[in-house]
Amino acid sequence: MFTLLYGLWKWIFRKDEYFILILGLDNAGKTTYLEQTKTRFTKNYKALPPNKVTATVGLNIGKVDTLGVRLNFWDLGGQEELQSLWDKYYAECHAIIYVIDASDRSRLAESKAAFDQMIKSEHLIGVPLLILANKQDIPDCMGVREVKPVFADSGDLIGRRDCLVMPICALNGEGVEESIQWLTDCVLRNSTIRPPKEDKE
Amino acid sequence: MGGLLSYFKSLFGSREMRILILGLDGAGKTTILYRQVSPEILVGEVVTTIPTIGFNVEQVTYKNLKFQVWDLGGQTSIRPYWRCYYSNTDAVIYVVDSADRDRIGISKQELVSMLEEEELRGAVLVVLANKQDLSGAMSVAEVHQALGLDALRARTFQIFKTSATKGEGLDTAMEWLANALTNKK
Repeated sequence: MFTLLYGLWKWIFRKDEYFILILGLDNAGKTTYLEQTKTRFTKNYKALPPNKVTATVGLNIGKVDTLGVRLNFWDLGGQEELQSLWDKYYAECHAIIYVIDASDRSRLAESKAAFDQMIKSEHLIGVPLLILANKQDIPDCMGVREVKPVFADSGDLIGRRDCLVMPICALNGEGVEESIQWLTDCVLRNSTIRPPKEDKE
Repeated sequence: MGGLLSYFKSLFGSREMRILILGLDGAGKTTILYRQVSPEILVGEVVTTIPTIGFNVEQVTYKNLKFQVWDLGGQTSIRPYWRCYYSNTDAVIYVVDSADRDRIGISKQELVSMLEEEELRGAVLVVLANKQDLSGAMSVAEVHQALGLDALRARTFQIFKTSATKGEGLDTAMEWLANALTNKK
C-alpha cells in the first residue's frame, strides 16, 4: 500500500530533467549569468556577488525549476586549455547556451573559432542553441545586429536546429528570464529527439 | 518566523565549517594546512613537515568564516581511515602532486571512491594541483583529465594551481571556497 501511494506521489511530483551547457570564452560572463538565473528562478537564493566571481576552472552547477520542468545547468571554464574538456558533456546535454562578451570586439573572432569547434561535434546535432550577446550595459558594445552576421556565417554547421541570438546583461539581469523561457520552450519541443533524463530518485 | 530566526542566527556567528584536506602521501596537505593556519609565514619562506600518521586538526578563520580543517595522513595503509571523518563535512580539499605522473592514477581511484560516499554528497570539492613550481608539472586541464573530473555531473568543483611550499595560489583557492560555502548556507 505504501509503495503504491509513494509511487503515486512520485508520479504527481515528478519533473522531467534537462541538462543545459553554458559555454563561451573566459570572462564572457557565464558564471554571472548562471548566478543571475538562479537568483531569478529560485526563491530566497542568495547569489554570489558578481565581484566575487572568479575564473572558473572546473564546474559550477545550478538547478532551476520552471514551466514544470527542472533545468540543470553546467557552467564550464572558458580558458583556452579548458575548451578541450567541453566535449565530455556534449552527449548528455539538451541545449547549449553560448555566451559572448559583446563589449570585446578584439576577441570576437576567437570566440567564433571556439564556437565552430564546438558546433561541429556530431553529439550536438539538432541540439537547440542560444547565443547570448552579454554585457549590453557597456556603452558601445556590439548589438545583435553586429553579432548575428558573424555567427550566421556558420549556418551550415548550425543546420536546422533552433537557434537564436539574444542581447542580455547578466550583471543586472536584463533579458535573463526571457532567454531561459525561450530555451525551455525549445528543449520541450526537441524532447522527442532528445528525451529528458528519467528522475533516478 | 523560521526565516527570521535563521537570519538572526546568521548575524551572530555561524556554525564552524568542517573541511577535510585529503590526497596521497607527499602531495603537500600538511604544508597547505599550516599555510592557512599561519598566514604570517612569509610568501617564499619554506615550511618543513614530516609525513602525517594520523591527523592534524586546526581552526582557521578566513573572512569571518570559521573553519575546522582536518589534514589526514595520505599513506596507503591509512587511507582506509579517511571515511571515519566524512560525516558533516562541508568541503573537501583534494591535493594532487602535479609532478607525480606515475601516481596520478592511484590518486584518481582514491578520489573517485571518496566521492561515491553518501556522506560527502553535498560537500564542495576543491582540487589543488599542487607543486606547480616543479618542472614538468601537469597543467590544470591535464589534472582535470587525469582525475576523471569530467565524470562529475552534480557537484560544484574548482581546480587551482598551487605551490604550497612557496605559498602561491592558496589565497585564491581559499577565497573561492569561502564564497562557495557562504553561498551554500
